[in-house]
This record gives sequence, structure tokens and C-alpha cells, in this order.
Amino acid sequence: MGIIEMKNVRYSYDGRQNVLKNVNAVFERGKMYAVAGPSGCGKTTLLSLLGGLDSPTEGEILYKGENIEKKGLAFHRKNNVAFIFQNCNLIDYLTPKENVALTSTLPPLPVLEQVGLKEEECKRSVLKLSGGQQQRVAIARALASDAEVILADEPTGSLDFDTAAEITRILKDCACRMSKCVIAVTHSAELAKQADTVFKLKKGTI
Amino acid sequence: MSFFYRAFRYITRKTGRSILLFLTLSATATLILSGIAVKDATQTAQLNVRQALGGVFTMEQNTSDPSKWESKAVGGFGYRSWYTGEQLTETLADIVLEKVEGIRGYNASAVVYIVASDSKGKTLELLQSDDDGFSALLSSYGDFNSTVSTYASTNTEFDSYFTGGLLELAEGRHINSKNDESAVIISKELAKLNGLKVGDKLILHMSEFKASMSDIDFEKTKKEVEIVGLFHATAKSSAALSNWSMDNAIYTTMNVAAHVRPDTLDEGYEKICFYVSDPAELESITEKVKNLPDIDPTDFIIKCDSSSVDSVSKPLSNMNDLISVLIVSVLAVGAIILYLILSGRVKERVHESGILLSFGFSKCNIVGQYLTEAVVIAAAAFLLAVFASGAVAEAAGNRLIDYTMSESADNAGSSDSLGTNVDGGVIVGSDDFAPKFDGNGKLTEIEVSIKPAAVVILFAAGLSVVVVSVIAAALPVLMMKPKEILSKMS
Repeated sequence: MGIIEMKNVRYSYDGRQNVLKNVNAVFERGKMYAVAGPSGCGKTTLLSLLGGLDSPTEGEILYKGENIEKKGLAFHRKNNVAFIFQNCNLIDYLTPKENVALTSTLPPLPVLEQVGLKEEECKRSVLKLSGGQQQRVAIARALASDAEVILADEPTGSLDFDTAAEITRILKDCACRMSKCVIAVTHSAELAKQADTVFKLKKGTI
Repeated sequence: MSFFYRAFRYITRKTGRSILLFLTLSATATLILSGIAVKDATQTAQLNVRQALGGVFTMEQNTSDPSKWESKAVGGFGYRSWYTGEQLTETLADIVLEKVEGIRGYNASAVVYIVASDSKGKTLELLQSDDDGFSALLSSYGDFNSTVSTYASTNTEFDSYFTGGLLELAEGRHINSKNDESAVIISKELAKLNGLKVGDKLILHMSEFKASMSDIDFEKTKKEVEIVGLFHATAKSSAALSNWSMDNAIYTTMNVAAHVRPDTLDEGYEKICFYVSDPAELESITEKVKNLPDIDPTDFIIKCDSSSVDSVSKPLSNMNDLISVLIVSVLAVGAIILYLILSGRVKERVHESGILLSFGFSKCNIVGQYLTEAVVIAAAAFLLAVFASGAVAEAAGNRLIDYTMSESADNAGSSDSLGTNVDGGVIVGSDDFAPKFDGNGKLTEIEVSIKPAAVVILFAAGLSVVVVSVIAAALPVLMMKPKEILSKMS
């Protein structure tokens, strides 16, 4: 049984043109999934629905077998899933430690060190970190939460090859060693190659 | 992480934005608080003016009937005339006070010109001004040039110069004719010039020159008096003859004045000023006095003149109106600027709102953070405004009062002339000899202070505006779904 599941999901912005059509997918813990497909095929919408940022027009999203709308989307976002965005989306007036502390009550430093940041880097303004370092902070923020599902939207999209490879490795570790369910929307063949399962999305269907 | 902590971090790390909001709020709050303080002060001053000048009516002799006048030749200097109708006496004033309710006190007064010496008989040195138009003219009239204005009063506390704020008691006490036999009040400056203090004795006497004119033994006019109080003029005073200015003036009782000037005074006063408890009832009280059977309307003129109140309170009223407009303008402009700044802050933080929403923070939590930031900065700004506005309000108030006063006509004090009768007829019928004051500084003086009520209003109204502005600014953003916000982010 998967930890998070899409069941007969349809999504339309205007009620006429479907962005997603009859999507069924099951995601399990301990695995990394890649969702690939051309631009505009509905990848980010799929991620938003899984993350409770929006509701499907039809069908349902189940978390551990329960519709996520039952306890509320805010509850789902807070407790069940964690996001990693392409542009990191760190809060710029908080330090890396404080950004991580946003989602966790645990000490943030071990998690930040786990993703390869040094202690002094963790006290700086996030604006003074490189793109790769910022993405590590974003990953640490996702990991530090108790969420079992990590939703990553183009996590390596704006990074150079080496850094992207390092971030991919960290995400893979999250799935394997920490037994999280990592779902990454990506254009990166490298990331897709590392995924346990690749969902190819085309014209709103898998 | 609580929204308080996030708010604290935002304030301390986004210092530019925090300072901009802080300065805007401080400036607006300072202007508003100063405006309220100045407005309060002008309203209080207006009330003081009404109480000091508005609740008074006067009783004077009706000297228009020529059959009630007598005259006789005075040596080779011409004629002396005097009125033979019923006198204005203390007894008459007491009857009015007793029979008409609502009168809180009165002062009957008359002015004569006498010479004052210290206890050793040395004529007092007088304060001189630069504009002595008549000094040269009178220098040939012996010691007449050393005379000073002497006000015979029943109660100096109710003297129009004192009630009008042109004079204030600096030391000692007022004179009340019911208790004082031979007391005087002189100016602090005159006392200082002659090394006198409260408790010292003076000898008052008629001018030797005048006495010789009236065949009076001037030695018999000498009267020893005690200085019981010192007064201080709140505005610069002057007179045609500088020794008749208020700086050199003496207040005493009718007993003393009549003893020193037997040629001029007996029991009759020139004017009685009655002060009513409630200025609003002035007209009805005046009517009651006019209808008293003890008062012969052909002998006395009873009048209440509001021109003195209007002349003093009009600039204050104008200033009050001006301040009201300023407060409303600052409030309106301040609220608009505040809304624009706060809505700008919230809108530029759509990104941040999206991040927080994506991590499950509630909209209330996010708005709570924005509110906390704005309220903390506003509270600090208002606190600064409370301290700053005291000085600002005082400076602004003084400038405004100077401006409005310069626009206004002459003050009430100078128009309230006590000295129309100049020395019993030697020089009769000229207001030019009455003391003049440059301005009624005391009455139009405004005491600006920041009252606790104004601070409470500022905090309550100011924080309400801040809260409403933040919520109004955040509403459009927070009405969106998290996905829409995140779309805006990307």
C-alpha cells in the first residue's frame, strides 16, 4: 500500500480544458519518483495536488488511505508533505538554521550538516549562500519536518551539473536511508535516471 | 517557530523597511499628537479668556447730565470740575453683591497721582521709558513730574489688570479694603530699583506742587503704608508719562488714596467691575442689577462689553480652527501613506506568504506576523512621538500663537482703561494717559502639554489604523489559494 495515492484525478482550471485527466498513481515510502514530461503537461499541477496546494476537480488524493481534504489541506501541508522548490524559496530574512527551524522543533544544525553545509554557513544570511547551498538549505528544511513525503519541483533546475548531481544524491539518500517518499518533478535525465520509478506525463495523463 | 519570532527577525533584519515605517509613523503621530496638544491648549486658553474677561460687567457714573457738575477756580491754573451726583461707593457695591445672586466678587477703583517716598522720606526713583512725550512739558511743574499712578481699589484680586492676566502677583498678597487700612502693592521692578521688599514701609503724599495749587498743607497728606505685595506685568506697559506707567503704579485702598488726595477723592470710585460666576448668565445678572431699586439708572451706567473677550479669544479661535484642519489633514494623509506602505510591504511578501502556506502555516499565523511587525513598530513610533511631540507642540504652538496674534487687533487689556480721569481735572478727558500694554501675553499664552487622554487616543486610533491597514492590505493576497500565490511567486 502506498503512502500517498492519486485516484481518478482530474484537474481543470476553467472546468472545460483538463490539465490532468484520470490520473491514478501510487507512491510508496523509501522510493524516489521522478515525474517527467514536456512543459505544460501538468507536472507542477500534479505536485500541487499531492501537496494540498489545490484540490482536484474530480477524484481524490489519499494519504495513508484517507482523503487529504478530510483533515484539511493546511493540516496535510503542515504534517504530511514537505516542498522543495526550484528557486529554493527560502525566507530571506532568516538564516539557514532559522529556515530549517520553520518546519521543525528539532535542532536544525545536524540536518544542515547532513546535507553538506558547514556550521558557519548556517549562520549567514541565506542571500549570501550560493544557489547549491540554498538548495541544500531547502532540502534540509524539508527533511527536518516530520513529513514522510517530499515533493520537489525541479530541484536541480537552476544548478550546475556537479551540484545537481550532489542534490540528486541527497534526495536519493532521503528516500533510501530515511525511508521518505520523494516525488520530484524534473526535466533532468540525470535525476530521472536515479529515480526508482519514472512517471511520464503527457497531455495530462500518465 | 512562532510568528512573534519571525516578526522580530523581520524587524531587526529588514532594517531599512522597518526604519521607513517607523519614521513615517513617528512623524505622523508626532504631528497628530502635537496638533491635539495645541488644540487642547488653545481651547483651555479660550476658556480662560472667557472666565477672565467674559464674566464681567461694569458700573460707572453717568456724568452726562451737566446739571450734576460743579466747578471752581484753582489758583491761576484754570478750573477744577467735579461730579455731584450719587457716588460709586463700596456700600453700593456691597448692596449689589448681596441682592443679586451669581456675582463672585467686585473691585471698585479710582486712579489718582501721588508722590511716593521711602520710610526715610526719599522720593522713590521711578522706572523710565524712552517715550516720555510729556516729561519735558511737566518738568516745570515741580514734583508733579515725580507722581505715580495710584489705584484706589477695594479688592485688587478683582482688578481688571490682574483678572485679565496683564498683571500677576509675584510676592505677598492682594489688598482687600475690608481688612487693610494702609497697605500697598507695587511692582516688583519698582521695588527692586529702590531696594524695597514686602513688609517695608512707604510714605505716600500729595505732590507739593499740586497741594500748593489747591491750598492744601501737603505735610498733612502724608500717609505711612506697608508694602503687602509685589506685582509683575506680563506684558510691556507704557504711558504718555513714563512715571504713570504700570511699572511705577501703586495699588492701595480708598482710605489711603483719599487721605493723600483730599482734593480729588472722598468716597467715590470711578468704576466698579463685577465678576459673575457663570459668564453665560452675564446678561441676566446685569438686567437684575439694573432693576435693583437701590440703583438710580440716571446716576449710573451698567454695561457688559464682550469686545475685550472677542479681541483676545478670536485669534485663539482662529488658531483652534487651523489646528483642527491640520489634524484632519495629517490624519487623512498619514492614513493613506500608512496604507500604501503597509500594503506595499504585504504585496512584496507574496512570495513569503506562499512559502509559509506551503509549509502548512495558517493564514491567521501569517497575518499575525505582519500585524505583530506593524504593531511593534507603531508602538515604538508612538512612544517616540509622545516624547517628541511635547517639544514640537510647544514650538508649533508658540509660532502659531505669535502668527495669529500678530494678525489680530489690540488686546482687551489696553482697551480696558482705568485712567480716563487724570488727576482730578488738571488734565482731563484723555485715554492717552492710561497705561497701555503691548499685548495680553498672559491670557493668550498657551500651556501645551501632552495629556494622557491624547496618548490613549493616539495609541488606540493609531494601532486601529495600523491593524485595519495590514488586514486590508493582506486580504487580497490571503484570499488566494496557496497554488495561486505560488504561481505568482514563480
